[in-house]
Order: sequence, then structure tokens, then C-alpha cells
Amino acid sequence: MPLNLKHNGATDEGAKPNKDIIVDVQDLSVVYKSRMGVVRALDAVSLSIENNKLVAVVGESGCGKSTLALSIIRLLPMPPAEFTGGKIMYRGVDLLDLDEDNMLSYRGTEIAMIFQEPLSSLNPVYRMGDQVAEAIAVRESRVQPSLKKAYFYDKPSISPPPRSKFTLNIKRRSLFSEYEDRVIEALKLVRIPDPEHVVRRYAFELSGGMRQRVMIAMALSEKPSLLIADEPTSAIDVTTQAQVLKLMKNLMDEVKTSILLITHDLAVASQVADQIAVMYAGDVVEFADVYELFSHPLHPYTKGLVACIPSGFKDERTLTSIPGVVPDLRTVYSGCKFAPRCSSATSICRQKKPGLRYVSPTHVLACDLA
Amino acid sequence: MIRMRRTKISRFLKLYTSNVSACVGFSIAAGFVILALVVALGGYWVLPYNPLKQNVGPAFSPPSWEHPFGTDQVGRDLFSRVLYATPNALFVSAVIIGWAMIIGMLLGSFSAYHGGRVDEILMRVTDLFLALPGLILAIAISVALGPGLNNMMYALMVGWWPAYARMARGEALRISRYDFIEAARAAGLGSGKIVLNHVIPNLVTTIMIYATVDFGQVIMVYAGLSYLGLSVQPPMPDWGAMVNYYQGYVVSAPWLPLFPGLVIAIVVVGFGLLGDGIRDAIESQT
Repeated sequence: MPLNLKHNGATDEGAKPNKDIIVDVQDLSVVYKSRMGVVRALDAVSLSIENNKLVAVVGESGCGKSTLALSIIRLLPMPPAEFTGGKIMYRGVDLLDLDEDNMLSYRGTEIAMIFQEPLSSLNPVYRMGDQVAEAIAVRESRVQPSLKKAYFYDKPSISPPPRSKFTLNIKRRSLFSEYEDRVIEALKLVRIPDPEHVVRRYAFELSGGMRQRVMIAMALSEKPSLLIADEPTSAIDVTTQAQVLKLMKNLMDEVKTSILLITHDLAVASQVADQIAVMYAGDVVEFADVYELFSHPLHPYTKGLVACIPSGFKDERTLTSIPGVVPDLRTVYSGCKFAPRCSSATSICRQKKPGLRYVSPTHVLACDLA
Repeated sequence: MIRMRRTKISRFLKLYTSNVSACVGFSIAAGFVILALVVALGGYWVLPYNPLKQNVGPAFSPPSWEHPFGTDQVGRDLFSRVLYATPNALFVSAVIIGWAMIIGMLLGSFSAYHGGRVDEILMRVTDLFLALPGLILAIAISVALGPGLNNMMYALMVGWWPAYARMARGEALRISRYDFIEAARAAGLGSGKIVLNHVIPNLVTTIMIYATVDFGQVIMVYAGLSYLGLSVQPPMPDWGAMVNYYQGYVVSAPWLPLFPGLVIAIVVVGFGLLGDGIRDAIESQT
């Protein structure tokens, strides 16, 4: 949990030095400029992701978790969105300093992303084989020499068959035939049965779970250091959800990557995450190891969320909820944004915004009360 | 997979062939395309008479078995002349449509994908062309360049792509919103690759359908310009030019302007029906 919190003026005595950080988001602020006003989607968010850890970001709709994910891979639609401060350090490079061309060599190769809806994330006019091959081919051409790693599987020696001068090359050799071995290998990696068959299929012919596996295969085929998964299981039915989550968790160890899992589902997060960051209205309010977060939630919002999980007992007549509504992100708050909904809020809470501080080496909190 | 595709195609064929007017359109279009190919490859040899040779029969002879469309004032066989003009009309139209499709798809999808200022500039240029009536623009350019088949083709090329660019842009805007475009960006593809490999393959079908329906329109405009004398010059025959050339004889020898005009009408209607049929079959399929 090595957050660099000095700039927040908070104590960081609990922090132990850790060289194992892949991505270190420091005080990142993002606003969306619209005619209705300036929406502060991220308000000085700090988050660090260690090597080979699964960090889940949970929070309700509109709390900025997707904005955070898209910021890291720099895919925010830039006219409305704007970075107003902070850094995203990726292995010593500030991603916000990179121009679009340089960023291209990080996308896919270093940081990969999978999306919520696997059907619309796959191009309907391509067979799976060609689509996976394209992802591999792009990365092949883009891998930064300085960052080049050993491939996860042995790179087969691909020498394109010599083209005869006398044959008319009417049909361009498909990408798939060029990368066939690696495509099959990538599909085997995500435990797709009968990959030789699946490569000839179109997205609409596969089930939701299969599609998401293909997406994962595309994302992990080149062994990125970070996989961002934006609600990867929301569009899949519950039985397949568990499979896909388990698969992601296993692959994380196999491929030695880290995963940033964006979800609104605490159950999903609790199953697979190593660490959970709770976001509220553009702030990270609590960031802790998963067991600690569920056993000792300290932030009132987290406590509320944990209390909201239905116990499943028969006598539970009404579902618990947190009173109040999410604040309007267009207004500037001087105090804690959760104060209006917090039962234990004091007058100080409404005046001064609590910074992130360590309560234990594995627990970061933005609340002055606990 | 293969089976899946076959059933899709066979379903399309089933839908298409159940539509009588679509079948009529297909027969007409296919007939004229074959005719055009045969005439283009065979030249004078496949025609009953040399279309330029005078006095192959008596002047002003009405349609007969000898001269199915009759003969003109200098005794040229009108049937041969009409047939001889077929390849010009179809090939010029095909070139114009092909050009419009390529330029329209590239411009429209790049414009839509980039958005912002690029989109604004490209679309205002497109609007500029759309604001001028296509026929007037084509006439103006054609006259400025001088009459002739190639010049007329250039004139039509200038004016024909904006509609395609507009349509491609609309489709590309829709496609750009899909997640697979964002996934492609997340995979590190550059904008050029995304437009060519992911946007355009998804809008080709729509543009192709529009192009088939549009084909008849091009032939009509081509005939119109040629009627105004901007296409091939006499004595070379051309449908539109012949209608103009022979219209003075509409009372004394009505078959002379009638047959070229009729052929234009049949071709335009035929390609129109073909395009409509394809569109209907594809739309009711999905």
C-alpha cells in the first residue's frame, strides 16, 4: 500500500518503501467541461497498483471509477474531459506527459483494457482469429524497445512463405494465417475449448462468456503489465461471471500482470481483489487490503456499503440503504463530500476536506473521525 | 461457420427472388451489363450493322425485321447505334459510382472518426458541393472543360461524391460509438488503421446498397448531359445525344428519338428495381 501521500500533508509513517509499483496515480484531477458547468469527475485521486495485484475500484454510478480507468490508458474523450492536475506514473514515466503517438506504444502493449459489453467490443465483420491476430500484430509493431519483455510463450519463428512472382496475389494473406500459432496459443491461455474452431467464428456466434474470454485473450496476448477491466462481468450472466473472474485471477498469476478491476459490485470485488479502493463522488475515500476493508471498514461510506449487502436471511424485510443522494459534482465542496449523508459528521467535516492518511500499513483512509 | 454464411446468402436469395419486380430489375440490369461487355469486347463485329456506316438501308425506314429500330435520315441502322452506345453509358456510370464510393467512404469516415475541426472543415466543403445542384455543377464543369466523354466524367466525379461522404459520415458516427472502436484504441491502433480496418468494413454494405439504387440516377444524369451535347461527339452514337439529334424527326419518323429514349428509361428503371430489391431483401433479413 505504498501511496505517496507527502503532497497531501498527511503522515506517511505507515508507508513502507516499495519498488513494486506498476502504476502510481498521484493527485489526479479530471474535469468534464460542459455547457451545464464544470463537472469535477476526479478530485485529487491517489491510487497505486503493485505488481501482480488485483486492485478493485468500487463505487456507485458516476463516482468517477470509469473516468479513472480511462485516464490511465488515456482514452478519455478529450474535448469534454480535461486533466487539471496530478500525475499518472507508469514505471517512472508520467503518462500525462506523453503525446498521442508515444501513448500508442503503451496502449495494448503495456496497458491493456477490456470493456463491459463483450459483444459490441468485438468488430462484427471479423472472424475471431483475425481480430486476435490484429491485436498481436499491432503490439508486435509497437513494443517499445526499452520495455520489450520475453514473450509469455515461445515466439514461433514466422517467416512468411515466399511469394511467387507469377501468382496473382488477389486476396491479401489474412493476419490470422500470419499469426496462427500465437492466436491459438492466446485462446488456449483463456481456456477456450477447441480454439481451432473458434478462430473461424464471428462475435455473434459466441456466448457472452466466450466473447469476454476472447477479449481477455486479446488483451493478455502480449503480456501487458496492467490490465484494466471496466465492469468486465456486468453484461454476463452470474454463473459465467464467476468463471470469468476466476480465469482473470488465474491469468494474473500466470502472465504476471496486475489488474485494475472497475466494478460496482462489492461481491465481485470481494471474491477476487487483493486490495479495494472505495470511491465516492470523485474521491478515493478508503483503500485497503480486501480482508481488512470488509472486517474493519473505517470510512462511514464504506461501512454503509458493507451494511447494504443483503444478508440473505428470511427475517430481513427491508433492504438497508445509505440515506441521502450523491452530491452534484458541479459544485465545489470545501468539506467532506460525504458529510451531508454521514450520521457522525461534525462541523469540522463540513469545513475541511479530509486528506488520505495511513491508519495501518495496508489501510488508507480519507476520514478524520475514525 | 461456413454453414451459417451459406444460410444467410440463401435466405437473401430466397427473399430476393420472391420479389417479382426485383427479379425483373435484375434481368434488365444483368442483360445490359452482358450486352455492354459483349459490345465493348466485340466492337462492330457483334452488331448487325456498322453503326457509323451510312446507307446500310433506305433512309427513314420504320422498324422492320431488317432494322428493328428503323433507320435514320442517312440510312444508319438505329438498333446498331443504340447497342453501340451501351458500354459508354454503363462504364461511365460505374466509374463515377466507384469513385464516389471510395472518396465518400474515406472522407466521410475519417471526418466522423476525427470529429472536431477536421470534421467541421470537411463537412462544410461537402455542404458546399451539396448546395449546388449536381446537374448544374456538372454542366458548368463540363462546358468549361469542353465537351467529350472524359471531361464529362470528371465533371460528374466532382459532383457525385458528397452524397456518399454524407452518408458514410452518418454511418461512421454510429459505428464510432461502438465499444469495438474504443477497444481498438485501447489495443493501441492508430486512427488510420481504425478507420480503414474497423469503421469502413462496417459501412461498406450500406454504401453498396445506396450505390446500386443510385446507379440508375447516374445513367439518367449521364443521358441528360449527353442530350445537351457534352458527351461523345457525332457521329459516335450516344443514347442522350441521339434523343437530341433525332428529336426534329419526332413527327415524321417518331421511332428515331423514341428508341434511344426508351432504352434510357428501361435501363434506369431496371437498375432502380435491382437496387430496391437488394435493399428490401437485406433490410427484411436483419
